This record gives sequence, structure tokens and C-alpha cells, in this order.
Amino acid sequence: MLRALYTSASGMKAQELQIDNTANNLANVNTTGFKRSHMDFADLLYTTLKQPGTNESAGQTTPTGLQIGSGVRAVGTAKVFTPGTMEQTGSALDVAIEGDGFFKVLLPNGESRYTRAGSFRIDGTGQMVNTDGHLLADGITVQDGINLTKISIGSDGTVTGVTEGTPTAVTQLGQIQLYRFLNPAGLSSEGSNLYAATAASGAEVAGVPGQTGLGSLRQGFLEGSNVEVVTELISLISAQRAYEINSRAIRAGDEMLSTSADIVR
Amino acid sequence: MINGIYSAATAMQRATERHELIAQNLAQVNMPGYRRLTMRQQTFEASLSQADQQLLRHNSLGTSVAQQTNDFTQGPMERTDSPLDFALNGDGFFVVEAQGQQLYTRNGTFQIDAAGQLVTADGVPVMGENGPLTMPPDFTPSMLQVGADGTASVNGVQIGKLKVVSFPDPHVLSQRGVTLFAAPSGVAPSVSTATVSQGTRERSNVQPVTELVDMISAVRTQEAAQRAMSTISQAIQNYTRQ
Repeated sequence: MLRALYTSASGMKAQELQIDNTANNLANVNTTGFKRSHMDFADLLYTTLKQPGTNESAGQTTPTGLQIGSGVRAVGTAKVFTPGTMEQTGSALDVAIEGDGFFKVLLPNGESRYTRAGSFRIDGTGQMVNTDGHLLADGITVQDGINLTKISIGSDGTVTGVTEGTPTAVTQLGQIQLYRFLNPAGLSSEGSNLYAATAASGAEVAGVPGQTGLGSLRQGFLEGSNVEVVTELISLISAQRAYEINSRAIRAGDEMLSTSADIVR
Repeated sequence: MINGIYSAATAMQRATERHELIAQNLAQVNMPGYRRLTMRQQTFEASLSQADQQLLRHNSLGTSVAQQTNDFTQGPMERTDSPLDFALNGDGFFVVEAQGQQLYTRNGTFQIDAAGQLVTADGVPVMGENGPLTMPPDFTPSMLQVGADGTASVNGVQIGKLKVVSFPDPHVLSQRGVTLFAAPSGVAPSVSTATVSQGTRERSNVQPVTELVDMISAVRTQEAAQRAMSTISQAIQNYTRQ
């Protein structure tokens, strides 16, 4: 019976994690490029009380045995990389990825991170950076005299700028590449919309946007979060109720223990 | 009369076992592909051989657990649109291979591991008709298309077919872990007619109402047995004090 209490407790813990995860998804319903995550629950080992197929008595064997599990365990949260909604912003340096792939940015210490939030800026030295100031790994620099509002980013990632003057000249500024992974759900979430490659995700594969299955770029758009409020609310309700039901099971177990304790007065 | 005490004790024991089972079912109420456990009880004598039964003809010894089986009715379907979520419509199981043993599951929330293999959430490879399904190197999950018959293709190129099997009587399967099942030796799976639906997961078939009603019944059965036991105990006390 005590085992039942622990089983129910593990059920409650799992629902707590589920609620934490849903809360995080809901909090990021308006975060650019945010990908919702979902919980994966794994199998826990069973305590075998009676092995299936053991001898019961005089040649009879038990057909199925008696095994009682000890609850639920979360193995992890997996990001769901379905596309978010496209929002038009009109800003020349906002780029959304239509399809698969990530932008690669460099941290100050030189490590690579990947992101789908394509909201870029130009820093003091003319380099293209993300909203946190991390450099875009493709090294795109805007020289003096180029009108920022006239930078154009093609669907294949080519960045061109227009120099003011008569006549105006068109300059190639660089090429944005996209990166993808065999198992994007295995990427580790590093906060600030950044992901890091892990052994589970596999190594990055670079490519030109729009080719070999990579998405194409859309200038002037941002990818919204892929969190669907209705789905999250439903999962919140179901987690909350499951939590409640498991707590009832604990109360019932407690009542049964107390009944047993009453045998001897 | 003393026998009665033992009978009541077995009834209390069974009631707590039923509660344990219900707690287990309720803990898994949100686990995809979980099949609820049910327990059948029998009189204690029925679990004995013929000869033993003869000896105990005039006594009633309470109850014992006859069988613990899974209820294989299909659970409700939930649309997730994740390309790696699969559900089976109809009788059938996905086949996975853990430590050289084939196991069966209806929990189709799969993933891709770093080697490109289709695996379960625990990392156990999912079997196709010709061994594990391996994705080509430049793969991302959104490229995977799986048809109703289980044919898996990446960008239109067929890479294999999910193995889906069924058993004439799935109740012979024994549970391994939570959503995995093993077949007893000598029972071979047959081809299933179930259809595969991508982007869907099958929820647990635990119905909280049923479980809660069962739980109330287990609690009260245990209480009643305990009352019976104290009544007998009191009767013995009265008798010995006369």
C-alpha cells in the first residue's frame, strides 16, 4: 500500500513538471522564434511480486504474474520545431526562415549557438548582430555610406546594399547560411532563444537557404512563437486534473492504512 | 472461527492490491499508449490443485489474485502534428527491439537519435519490416512522411516500412515497463490491419471515473473486511471470557 502512495506521488510530480513546462510555453506565446516543448515520460521498472510462468502448485503455472509499477518518470522535454506564424514587421533586418534551418550566431567566447529568431541589428562597427549583440556567424558587415533601409536580403540569403550617390551602386555584402541538424529535438535550449548542438542532435550541416531541404528566407518578417494557446490550456487542464486525481489516490491509500491500523485497538 | 479472520485478512490484502493497481493506472493517466491494468480475483481454493482442494473442502480461505491483465481497448487520439508522433488505428503494435528482444508498444511518440535511427523516447530502436529505420544524412523531421500502411519516405524516397503486428489475443502479452509489452515464447505475431496515422498520439485508455469508482470500492471493501475481522475477534473474546 505504501508503494501505491509513492506511485501516486510520482504521478503528481510528473504532472507538476507538465504544468511547469506548459507555463513556460504560455509565457513565451509572443516570443519571436520560440518553439514550444513537450514532456516525454519514460517507463519505470516494475517490481515483480510474482513472476509470470512460475509454479503455483502441483503443475499449475501462473498465466501472467503480478507486477506493479512504481510510477512515472520524465525523460526530458523535447522542442517541437513546427513553424510559427509569420508576422510582417517591415524592418529590413528582420528575417524569418520559411522551413527548416537555424541562423548561427557566435557568443563572445567564440562558441556557436543556433537560433530561429531572425531579428537582427547593425552594431557600432557595421556588423550584423542579433538583439543580444551576438555576431551572425556569416560575418556580414555593412560599410559606411550604405542606406540601412535599402539593404535587401534575398530568399537564398544573399545580402546586398545600395550606396547612395548618383548613380546608386549595388554592393554585395555577404551570404547568410542556414544550419540544420539530424535531430533538432536533441538541441539544448540555452535561453535567449538560442540552442546549442549536443551529441544527441548531431553535428551542424550548413547550406544555402532554399536548397537541399533548407527553408528560404523572408525579409521584413519575423517568425512568431509556435505555442498554441488552446492546446496549452487543454494540457494545463488535463495536467491539473491528473494531479488532483493522483492526490485522491493518496488520500484513499491513507484511509486504507488507517483502517488497517484500526485492526488492533 | 479463526479461519474467518484469515479470510478477512486476505480480503483486506486484495483490496490494497487493487488500490495499488488503481494508483498505477491513475499515475499514467496522461501517458501516451498506456493500457490500463485490471485485476481478476478468485477464491483462494481455485488457485489450489485438485488434491489440495479436497483437503480444504469445508473451509473458505478468502480470495487470491487470479490474473492481472491489461485492457487493450483503444485510447482517445490526440492530434499533435509532430512528424514523429504516430498512432495506430485498430488492433496492432509497433515493434521495438531492446537488448535483442522484440517488444511491442502502442506508444508511438518517437524520436531520431544522433545516428539517424527512429527510436522511442527511451532510445530503443523502432523496427521496420527490414530492421531499424535509418534516416538519410541531410534529414530533418519535417521531411518524414509516413503513409497509412506504415510506408516511410523522406522527400518522396522510400526508406522503409514501419513494422506493425497484431496478436489474436493480446492478453497473453506481459507488460515490460509502462508501455512496452513482451510476447511469451511460442506466440508469434501476425500481420496487423491497423492503419498508421502520423502527427497523432494515442492517449492512455485510463478513464479517471472508472478508476475512482473502483478506488472507492476497494477502500470500502477493505473497511468492510476489517469490520468483519473485528466482529469475529470480539466474538472470540466474548467466548473466551465466558
